[in-house]
Amino acid sequence: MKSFLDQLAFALALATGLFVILLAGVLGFNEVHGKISTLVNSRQVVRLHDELRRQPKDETLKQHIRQLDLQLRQETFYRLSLSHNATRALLGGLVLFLLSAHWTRTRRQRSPDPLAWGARKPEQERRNARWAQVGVAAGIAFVALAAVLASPGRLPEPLPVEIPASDEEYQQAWPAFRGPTGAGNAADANVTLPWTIRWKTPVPLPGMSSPVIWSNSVFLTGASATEDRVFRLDADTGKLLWSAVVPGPKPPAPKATDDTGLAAPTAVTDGRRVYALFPDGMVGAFDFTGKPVWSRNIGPLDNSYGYAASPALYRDRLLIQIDRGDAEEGQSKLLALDTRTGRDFWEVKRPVAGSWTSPVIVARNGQPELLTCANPFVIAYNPVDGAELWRVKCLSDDCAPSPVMVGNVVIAIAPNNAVFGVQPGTTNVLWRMDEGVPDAPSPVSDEQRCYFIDPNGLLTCLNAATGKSVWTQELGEHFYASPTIAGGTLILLSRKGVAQLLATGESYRLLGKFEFGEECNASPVPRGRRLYVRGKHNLFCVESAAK
Amino acid sequence: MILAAQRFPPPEFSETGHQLPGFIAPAVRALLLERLDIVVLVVALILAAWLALRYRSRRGLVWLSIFSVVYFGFWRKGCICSIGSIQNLALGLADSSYAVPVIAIVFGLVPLVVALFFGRVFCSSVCPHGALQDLVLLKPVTVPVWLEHPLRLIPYTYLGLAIIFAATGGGFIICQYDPFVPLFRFSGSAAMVLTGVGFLVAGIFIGRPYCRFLCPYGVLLGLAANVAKWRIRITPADCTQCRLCEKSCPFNAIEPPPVTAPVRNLAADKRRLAWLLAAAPVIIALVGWLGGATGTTLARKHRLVNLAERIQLEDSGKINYATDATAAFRASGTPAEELFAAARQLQHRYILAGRLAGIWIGLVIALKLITLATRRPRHDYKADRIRCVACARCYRSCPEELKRLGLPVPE
Repeated sequence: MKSFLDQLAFALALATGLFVILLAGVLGFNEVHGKISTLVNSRQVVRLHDELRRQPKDETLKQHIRQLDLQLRQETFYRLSLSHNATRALLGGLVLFLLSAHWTRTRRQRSPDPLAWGARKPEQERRNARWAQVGVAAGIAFVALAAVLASPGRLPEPLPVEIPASDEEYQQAWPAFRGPTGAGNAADANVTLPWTIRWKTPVPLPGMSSPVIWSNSVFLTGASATEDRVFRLDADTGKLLWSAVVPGPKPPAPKATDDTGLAAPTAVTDGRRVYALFPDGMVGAFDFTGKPVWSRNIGPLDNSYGYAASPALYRDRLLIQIDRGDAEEGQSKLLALDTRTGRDFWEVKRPVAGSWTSPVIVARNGQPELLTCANPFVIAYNPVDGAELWRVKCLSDDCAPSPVMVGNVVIAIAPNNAVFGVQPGTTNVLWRMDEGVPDAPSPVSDEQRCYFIDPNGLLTCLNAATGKSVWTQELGEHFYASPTIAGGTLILLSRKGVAQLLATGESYRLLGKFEFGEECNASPVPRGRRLYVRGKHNLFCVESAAK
Repeated sequence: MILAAQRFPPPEFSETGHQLPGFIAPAVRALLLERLDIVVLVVALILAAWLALRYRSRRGLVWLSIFSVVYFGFWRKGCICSIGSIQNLALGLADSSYAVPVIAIVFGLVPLVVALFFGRVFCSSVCPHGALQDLVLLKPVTVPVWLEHPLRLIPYTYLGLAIIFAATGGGFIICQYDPFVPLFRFSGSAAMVLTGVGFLVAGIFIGRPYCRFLCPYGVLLGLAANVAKWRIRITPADCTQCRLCEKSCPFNAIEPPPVTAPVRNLAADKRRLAWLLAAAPVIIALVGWLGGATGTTLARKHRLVNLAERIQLEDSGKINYATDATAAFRASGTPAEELFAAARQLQHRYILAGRLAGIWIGLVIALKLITLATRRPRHDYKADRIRCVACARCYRSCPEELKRLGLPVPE
């Protein structure tokens, strides 16, 4: 006969057992439901954060994230609280269940009866255990194999270490749009008249880009509506060594005026590879044999007039300035690609309107800075990580001339408005010149003075430190090519293809002229006693007779 | 504080007025409690050894178990525990810059030293995990011997994995996936709480499922207990082979005497043993290779490798959005190549560690197979040196023990 206590214990064990099962079910549901979106693993939050990084000023997005954050936070803490209380209740129920079940079991326990157990069969047990052991080992091996198959593999091995070109090699070359220093100045060149044409080679595809030189190679770009090409010519003979198409599906050609064309950005080289950017968004890297190393589409780059900014290079970073639309539209950015792979190193938004200027690498206090110009800012960045170093607000309109640094003054141009001398590292405008302001050609400097030419052919020489005019001269021609200095000679190449050579200095002095006989818009490139000039149809190499 | 900050990131925007709490140094009381923990551990181990081996009191061990569950479990929140401390020791051995806390050294080594002399008395009633499971065991169901042996492979595997992850900085998985600590703390993910409850419910029928089929520290204690001089002796006198103790152990830790009948095919047994001895190096090499091959997968648990893989996926365009972690990394200006180099180095370490763990698991598999193919001389019922957790349940089943205590012996 069961006592009342026995019956109570049995009933309690049943009730608490059911209670535990029910609560475990609630906890399980809470867990499964909670997995859908929690504060710490919400994919939606991660994506919204990513979106916010791209559009940091989007207030609607911020508000959305705030609401979601609050909602998920409340849900998370509600679930935690529920879990906390349920765990306490669960353990309480379990303790009651165990006590009551223990009572019930103790009352029903019987003495063991070995005779009823039957004989043990250790040999059979061992044999079965061996096979089960093999089965479990196979199970572990299966799990391990599944892990191997699920493995993403090892991370890529490091790219082969490249020996970068030396500073000497850089200085002897003309590796980018404005030369090795970004100032358009080749101090050790000597291209005084008279000249003879050493060679003249037809350019297979049109383009406004300038040639770049490394050792005895000349690199040039050209494009049509159907292809983007890079050319390598022998600097001594003008022989076309190879012509390579940028691999990959070519995007549609963007709209561009005839004055900009489809190949305005100048190529850039580090002495190991040559990198070319085209207005359709294609970027390609080629080794010196013409073999493509990588290519990708970073587009779209379309803006009014067409895209014209040439890329710059700093160590293993290919720096591309993409300024489009109005400043408020937030479409402008600066992009750094890995020269070895073409992958993004970094990307920063720029608070500027569309521009046609090229970024220039300069050294200030021994540190590299990437100078950029666009309405309304001159902004300097760290080329390593894209961090903004300083900015000066002074520019306006459609900026096309690239900046130049003379001593401790950065000269920037707001077309048809003013030329500014700004103090780098500050927000100061040191001086302003309102006359003779260029529209497209970049300024050039002989380290003391700065020379620039306006759309009417007015050449201005001013003191770079003070901004005071030293002299001016009407040249009576129209120029797109930026002035270049070779040794002490200022070279001005008009659109009609007439090169005027002037002596740099405190007064205007014409040294002579040379006619190429065809339209010229690209900036001339001096090297040694030679000058490389891209005409509308031909690439010229003229050589000075001077020793 | 740091863990809490990681679990719950602060609100995104400073204008909410949220103030991040600063880091706090541990209170003096916390340090005193650590010393108290050490004292309690040592006293409890001595008491457990005395109760199990000398006083032979199951009831005493039950009360000590209740104390351990309350003190080490619910009051000290299950941390630090000896099971987890082996990870601190592994990390300390692998990384010279990591200073192993003294309490981790004590909790990791003292129970092992005690096991070298007195067997697994730590498991009997001092470990809160074991004690909790022991207390809930109501209606033991005997796990078939053929299943018991292979399932005991799992703790060796878990031990290998735990040491790999701890030594390579991948995390303390024993702590992360501890099923009982969430119960002791009334906190934690519901999944882990339910796992703990699941173990307890299973533990009502299956004796100490975590200890027997998962606990990596139990592996070490078992190996230490194998050479213990003083250990559980079921009968205080000569064994009468009455079989009454045979089913008193809910953990299959009592080994019966060998079969008295003549062995039917000794030659076949010898051949099997020879085959297994010959296959042992192959098994070890094969599992070692497999362990090495899993290295790159295991390495993904390390945050640096995880980050590097994510960066790689983003760079290759396979994922078109950044996480906070990858964005923060890119903003740091550290070249990705540096991260990849560090991650590659970690992958190599995981491959090596995986190979070593594989060799260890292969060795265990081979030895277990060889052990199952051999017979050891035994004349009476004895507690298995490795598996016995010194719970003292078997004592009262022995008529000789009842006689010693002056209790009536059942017919």
